[in-house]
Amino acid sequence: MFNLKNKKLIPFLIAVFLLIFLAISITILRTPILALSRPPFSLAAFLQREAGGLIFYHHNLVENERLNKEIALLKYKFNGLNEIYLENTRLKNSLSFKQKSSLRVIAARVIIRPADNWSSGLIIDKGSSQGIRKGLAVATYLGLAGRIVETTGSTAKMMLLNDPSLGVSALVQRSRQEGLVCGTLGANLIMKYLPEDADIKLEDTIISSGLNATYPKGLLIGTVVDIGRDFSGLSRFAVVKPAVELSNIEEVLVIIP
Amino acid sequence: MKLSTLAVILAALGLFQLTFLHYFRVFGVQPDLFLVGVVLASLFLEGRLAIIFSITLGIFKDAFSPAAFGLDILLFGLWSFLIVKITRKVSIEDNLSATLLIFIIALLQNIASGLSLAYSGNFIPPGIFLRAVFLGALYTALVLPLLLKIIKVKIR
Repeated sequence: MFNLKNKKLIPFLIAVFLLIFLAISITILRTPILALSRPPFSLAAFLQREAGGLIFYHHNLVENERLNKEIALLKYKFNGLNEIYLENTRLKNSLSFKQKSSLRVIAARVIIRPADNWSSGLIIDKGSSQGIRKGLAVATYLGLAGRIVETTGSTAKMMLLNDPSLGVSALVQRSRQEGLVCGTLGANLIMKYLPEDADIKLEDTIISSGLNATYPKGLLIGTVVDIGRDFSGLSRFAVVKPAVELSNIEEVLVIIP
Repeated sequence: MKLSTLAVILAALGLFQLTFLHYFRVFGVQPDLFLVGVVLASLFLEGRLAIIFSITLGIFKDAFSPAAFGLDILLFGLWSFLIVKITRKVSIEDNLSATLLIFIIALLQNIASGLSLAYSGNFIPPGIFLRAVFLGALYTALVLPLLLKIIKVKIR
């Protein structure tokens, strides 16, 4: 069928083998080939883009405006959804606290923040008509947050744990050492009246002792971050990092004993 | 400045103080916009009206505070009275003088609030006390020129 002479057959076979060899070794060759062809192809693409930009200028302008509007709308929707997602997470956590806890709780939202630097009070959107009364403990799903100090029909004023005028009878979960946790207006709390030989260490968990009827026993207050000695030298104190982020509370649970 | 305009501005300041201002806390301290309102009212309104306005602001502020005693009602009235008296003798004609005035008042207000808290048996660490007194006063003072710029009003 093929009338190839011996002289022509040899170069033909060499060419076939070379092609087969190139086909097999293309993965090795691809990298340098692409590297070499990149500058001219890039330049060509750039010119093509610029030319297209000049030609379709008006179309692109209108398209750009439309897409910007769409982006703004999507951003707005995304932010809204993100807020719903965060709220959902918080409420889910609150609900699981509600389900885990044997206590009866009323969920409420914070509507007003502290007015000055000398007190830590919040106002929530539930009041005496929902069963909230003065003296009840307030928590979040993370732990104890404060106490109700005043109520109206539809709102209640709560004092946060970091207010200096609030004291909570507490104990060290590990050693059952008792003390009084008070606010300092700062980010941390202080556990006072610890005896000189108190069994307390850094990272110890502090919970409510239940000695004060207001606060149910076992509510998480925080973790010990520092231990010091009183000015008098007669007792020690511990600096406690609250479990609840007191500056960013949005929803709370009022505990009905 | 008209009374109604000032009332609207102060209502907006109050609303901002009680809702969004905690996002602007620096080292755990926020400015006292109610006190800024007292100074504005005392500088722009007629004497008696300014004092009544300041006491109203004090009532408003103490209404949202968990403290049992309304110290701000007394202090705001006092500051307003003093500002009215001072401005009759000394003219406050530029923003710098007004800023200095509000810094001194905020400092005195913070010292009074802090001491009343401390003397009622509450322990406040000295560092936090000083931070709230000085930084709080400075922050409050710095808000006044900014606010005057926003509402585009010059001190008379």
